[in-house]
This record gives sequence, structure tokens and C-alpha cells, in this order.
Amino acid sequence: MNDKPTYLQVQNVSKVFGQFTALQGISFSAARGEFISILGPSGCGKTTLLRVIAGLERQTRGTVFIEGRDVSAFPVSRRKVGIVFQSYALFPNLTARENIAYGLKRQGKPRSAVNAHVDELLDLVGLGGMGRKHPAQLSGGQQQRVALARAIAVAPDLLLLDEPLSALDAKVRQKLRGEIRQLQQRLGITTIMVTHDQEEALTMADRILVIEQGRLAQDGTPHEIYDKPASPFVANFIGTMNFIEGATKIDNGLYGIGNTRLRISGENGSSRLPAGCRVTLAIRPEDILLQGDPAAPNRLNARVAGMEYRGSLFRIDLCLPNATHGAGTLTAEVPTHAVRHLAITPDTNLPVYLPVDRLRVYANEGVQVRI
Amino acid sequence: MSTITAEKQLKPGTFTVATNLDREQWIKRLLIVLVCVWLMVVVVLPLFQLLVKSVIDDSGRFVGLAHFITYFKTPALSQALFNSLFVSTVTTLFAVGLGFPWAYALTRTRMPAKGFFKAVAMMPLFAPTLLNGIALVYLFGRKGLITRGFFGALPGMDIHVYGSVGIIIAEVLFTFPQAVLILSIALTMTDARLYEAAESLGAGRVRSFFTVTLPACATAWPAR
Ligand SMILES: Nc1ncnc2c1ncn2[C@@H]1O[C@H](COP(=O)(O)OP(=O)(O)OP(=O)(O)O)[C@@H](O)[C@H]1O
Ligand SMILES: [Mg+2]
Repeated sequence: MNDKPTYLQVQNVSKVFGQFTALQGISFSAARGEFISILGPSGCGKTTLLRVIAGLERQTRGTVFIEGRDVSAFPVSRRKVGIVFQSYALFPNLTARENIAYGLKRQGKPRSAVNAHVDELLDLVGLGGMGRKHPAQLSGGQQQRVALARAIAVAPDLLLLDEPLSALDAKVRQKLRGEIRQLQQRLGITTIMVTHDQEEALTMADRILVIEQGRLAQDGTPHEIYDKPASPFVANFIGTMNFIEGATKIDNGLYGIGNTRLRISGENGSSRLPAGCRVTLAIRPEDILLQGDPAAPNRLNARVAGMEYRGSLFRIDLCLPNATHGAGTLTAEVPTHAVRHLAITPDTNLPVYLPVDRLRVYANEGVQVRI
Repeated sequence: MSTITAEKQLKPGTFTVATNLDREQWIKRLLIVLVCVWLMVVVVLPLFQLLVKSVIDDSGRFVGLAHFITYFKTPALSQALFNSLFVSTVTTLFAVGLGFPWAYALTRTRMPAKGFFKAVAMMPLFAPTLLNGIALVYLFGRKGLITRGFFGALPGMDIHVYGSVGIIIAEVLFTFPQAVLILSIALTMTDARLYEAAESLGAGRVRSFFTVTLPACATAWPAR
């Protein structure tokens, strides 16, 4: 995506409501045609950020650039954005057709052209023949499609979606996810979608912005966010993560918990931490291996404390008797066929391997090292 | 063991909830029935009585629509019907025409002293009904303050308050508070996102007024 020109740039944007700081120093940029997802827990400022970009809310500090131009003073009508609001905001007194045509009226096209365009849009979102219905006569998913068609009808350069799928049930959501993504790619519209559903962000977006209490916690591809979460917050918010607390840095690439030594390669900036520094180590459940070369590093003895069947895999709680500090238990996700092959049952004693390149190091609170 | 006791404790709770709901349902139905009965007694029965009376003559014989035909053939009487319709139509137009800008100013502007203006709009509700009449007579009556031009200080102006004009003024005064109340509620209940949606689609203030504000108020119309 780096080869494409930047379409949107948000620079150091802050938003303060009275005493409350909703956004603090947010900076990011979006290339033309890129699909960016804003992800974060409820109340972290996602909608506020989207509204600042749309021009529905004026930032307290910072600048929003569209195609290099400072649009901070522009109202929403001059920013060429299409918006799908949280819970749609369709005009209840207008039919689906009239809703979609709403933004086309001012462009002064002849009525027949508008009608043809609306028909095209209705087909595009899979609502052919539903145009005469009012929003109250449509299902949630159909209303969502009308809202989407209405937003793209005006041929916006930037599409802003605020949790467009949150009101729908899992099946419909799954379907629309793919449809929105396809549509976005076909039309090549730069898109920013707010969500608090990590799966939605991971599957749809080219890039994810994770927001924590009004600050940008991480900006990266879904892969980077999942594989190299920048902080324990991000690690915990997206997927699940085992945290091994109470570890100490011994040397670059070498950490100790009690009398256990763990090797870590490809450190994420932790080489800047001084020896003796307290850290938290982290590993994803699916990265923990239950079989391997006996001579491999980071081999620990464990006991199976519990097993949970999940169909294609098992979640296995592992007790680490050797680790005297905190490390207590780890949760591993192991493919069912491996569990069968290794004949793992509760209370089995077995070796576990923590691959050197899958462990992450986080400095404990108070130690200021950005990764 | 503990789970079993917990379950036992839970069950009576669930039953209470169910009966509470049932009771609520019953009270609701009972109230609806009572309201219907009340409306029957005070509205439907008298009207029915009236209708029955209208098709029989003094001696109790059925005469069909004869009374109605006489009614419409008597100019003075049919004129009365027309007057009633005229007065109520004009009253509605004025009450809504004045009430809408008032409600709009109260809910959608940053006008100062909103509390005061709201109280002013509500005043006719609290004043005794006779007060309207007396005030109108004192101002516009044959010897009224305005009719006589402030005791001759100014040229007088007679608006012929003893007639439809007076009735309409009084009715507008009387219905204005309701109009303001109903329209304010409609105006405050409109979803702010609809305005934002309209704005993002390029609608100006005038268009969003006609496509968002007015339709929202239209739902308040039947209450008039
Ligand atoms: N107009 C406002 N005035 C005061 N505070 C506001 C305003 N709008 C938002 N906030 C506050 O800013 C914070 C962020 O709100 P925002 O709506 O951006 O959250 P969000 O991340 O979209 O949450 P959700 O996932 O629940 O929609 C919240 O704590 C909210 O209370
Ligand atoms: Mg939100």
C-alpha cells in the first residue's frame, strides 16, 4: 500500500469535551483505496475520531489533511465523504429509493439518470425490487444495505463506517463483511471503519488502528497487530495472550523466572532495557508446542491441569510446577490430531516448548521504553 | 450441594417475576377496558342519543333524514355549521402557524431566556378560561382600550370582537400552549444523526428542515 499516494492524513489530533479528553495526539495516514479499521473497546474514542475526520466534530488540536489540503475548517458537505452511521440513521419518512437518491438531488441530474443510478445501486447492494419499502419495513441487514447505498451514491472519495455491522446477527454480519469489502475494493474507495469486533477488523482491513483511551496504541497490518502487539493491552484486546509475569532480564535475549532461563530471539526493542529490569513475557496459546527437539531451548516441564474441546482444537491449561514465580499456568491451543497423537489426557506430565521467536517481551509499568 | 440449594432459592424468585408480569398485563388490560367504557359513556352514548333523536319527530315517529334536509334548507342553520368549520380551521392554522416558530425557537436555537418564553407560552393553560374573555372584551370590546384608542389618545380601532374574530382569537389563545408543547416534543425527539446524515449528503438547512424536521413534526399532527 505504500506505493499509493496518501489520501487522508490525520496529524496530532486531540479532542477535549469540557474536562474530558476523548482523543489525544492521534496521527495516522491512509493511502488511496486503503481499508482502515479503527478498533478499540467501548468509549475509547472511535466514533469521535471518525466524526473529526468526517467534519461533524471539530478537533481541539491537530490537523486533518485530505489530499494534502488542510480541511479542518471544512464542513462535512465539503469533504466528499460518505457516512454510514452506527444504527444507520435512514430517513424514516422516505422509501429506500428516496433515501438512496437523497444525495443525488442536489447534483442537478435529470430524473431519469437519477432513477437509473438508484436502480444500479439497489442491485449493487442486493436490494433489487425493495426500493418502494420504507426503512421500518426492512430488516436490519436490509436497512444496513440501504445506508451503504445511500453513502456511496454520491460517489464519495472517503467512506466512513461506524460499526456498520454491530446491530446484526452473526450470519448476516459474516455475509455483509465480505460484501462490503468486495464493494470497497471494486470501487476503490478509501474506507475507514470503526468496530469493536476484532475478527471484523482482522478479516476486512488492510490496516488496523488500535485505540486505547483516546490514544493510538498501535497502527499496523492485521498480521503485525496480531503477531507483534505493541503492548499487553493490544495483545489482550486482539486474540488471547499468555502473560508470564515476574520475569527479569539477565542479558540480551536471556530472561529468568525463578530458576528457569528463557531464550528469546528477535527482540522487540527490549535490547534497550537494562539487565535486571522486571519484564512480562508473553506468548500466544497456539504458539506453545507440546512436542519438539528435546535439546531445543525453552523446554519446560508441565502438567495438564485441564482440557477444553473446541472441535478442531483443544484448549489445554498447563501447570508449570518448576516456575516458582507467577508463571503458574499457561493456556495452549493444540490441534485435535496432535492431542490424539500425543495421547494427552488430564494430569499427563509432558514437556512444553516456548519457541524463541514467538515470545514477546514487555517492560513492566513505569519502565519507559516504547517498542 | 450448594448448587442445588441455589437452584431451590432461585425458583420462587422466577415465579414472582412471572406473576408480577401477569399482574401488570392484567392491570393494563383492565385500564384499557375502563377507558373504553368511559369513552362509551361520555362520547358514544350521547352522540348516539343525539343521532337517534335526529331521525324521529316530536311525537316519536321515525322521519328519516327529514330533519337534516330542513337543517340544510334553513340558511341560518347551515350557515352555523359552516361558521363552526371555518372557525376551527382558521384556529388550527393560526395555532400551528404561531406555535411552530415558537417551538422551533425554544428547541432549536440558542435564544436567551428560553425558560421565560416557555412559561409565556404555557400561561393560557393556567389562567382561568374566563380571563381570556374578559381581557379580550376590555381590550377590543365596544368600549375597549384599543377600540377607543386608549381613551382617545390614539385613533381607535374596532376589530369587531363580538363575532368570529373574537372567537378565533380566544380559541387560538386557548390552543396555543398545546400546539407549542406537542411541536416542541416532536422537535426535540428528532434524531440528531438524521440532520448529520442530511448534511453529509449535501443538504442545506432548508432541505433538512423540509426532509427531517417537518416529517418528524407531521407525526405529531393527529394530536391536534
Ligand atoms: N459530545 C460529547 N460530549 C461529551 N463527551 C463525549 C461526547 N461525545 C463523546 N464523548 C465521550 O468521549 C468518549 C469517547 O466516545 P466515543 O463515542 O468516541 O466512543 P466509542 O469508542 O465510539 O465507543 P462505542 O464503541 O461505545 O461506540 C466517551 O467517554 C464519551 O462519553
Ligand atoms: Mg461509537
